[in-house]
Amino acid sequence: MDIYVYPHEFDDFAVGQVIEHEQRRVLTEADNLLFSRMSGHEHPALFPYGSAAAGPVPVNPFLVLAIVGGISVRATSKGAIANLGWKYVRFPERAFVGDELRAITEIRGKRQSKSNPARGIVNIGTYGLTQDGRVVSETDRSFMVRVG
Amino acid sequence: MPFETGSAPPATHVERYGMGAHDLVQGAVFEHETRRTLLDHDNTLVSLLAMNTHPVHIDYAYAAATEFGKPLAVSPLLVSTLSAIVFNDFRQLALRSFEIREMTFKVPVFPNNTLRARSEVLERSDGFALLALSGFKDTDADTGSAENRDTEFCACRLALCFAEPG
Repeated sequence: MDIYVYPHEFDDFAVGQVIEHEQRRVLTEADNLLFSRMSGHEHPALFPYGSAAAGPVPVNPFLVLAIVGGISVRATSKGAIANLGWKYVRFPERAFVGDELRAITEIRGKRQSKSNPARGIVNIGTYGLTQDGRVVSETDRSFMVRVG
Repeated sequence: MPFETGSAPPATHVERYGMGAHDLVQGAVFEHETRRTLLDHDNTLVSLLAMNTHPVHIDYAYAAATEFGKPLAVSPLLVSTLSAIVFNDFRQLALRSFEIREMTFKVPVFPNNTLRARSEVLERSDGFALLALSGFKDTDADTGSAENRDTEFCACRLALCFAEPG
């Protein structure tokens, strides 16, 4: 496989490239607790606080979103001016404490801004996977970059 | 004389916070009560916790030189905080899965902005609801104004799958 060349501006993004991100991350109880409490999550489906139930502890999907997004930044939006939004954010399966996350990003499209030719919009799809290949997040995101 | 300890009175009431499936009626609008001020500390901590290397969140000298002139709130923290405000109000909902669709950021959010949320039920069927969700921020922290003016900073659809109460 080719080594990925980090993009700095619009012309550097090559539509069709699929990147296996280098960084991985084991999800810990501390990660889940800190992030969930900081965001204020109380819904038991997202953060089963106070549960003494045995078995694997499900991780807050928004933490999965944050980490998978974070892992992908260096290879995608590190030079971006701003994040524009997500076409979708999905969580096909739950991640659990102890799972190791990795991420794959596909460069899906890019276009120059109509109103400002010095700006471009890049569209990427990022997948979060566990060590056993479960897809725990799927996102389609757009961000704004410089042209030239 | 020893303190009287070791026994609690029997409960006469049980606390049940939040709405459930019955409250998800098509056309219903919810102004979610909880608001949250995002601090610089929150933003830096979550950026680092999420391994996000974008300097606009963690390098204030870099951020000062951008067109925004200051650091930006990191998007996953915004989405998570906004969603928590909404999901907490539906704590009695037996949520099975959810999906965020068509989320767009309209204006930048900075540390020290105060966030709030509004949602509206657009579609409702058996075990399913589609909400329009809007995130608002105060502009006081940006302008120094004493008025509490809300600006919509993001909008999306929130699709919810849940168990109907039996």
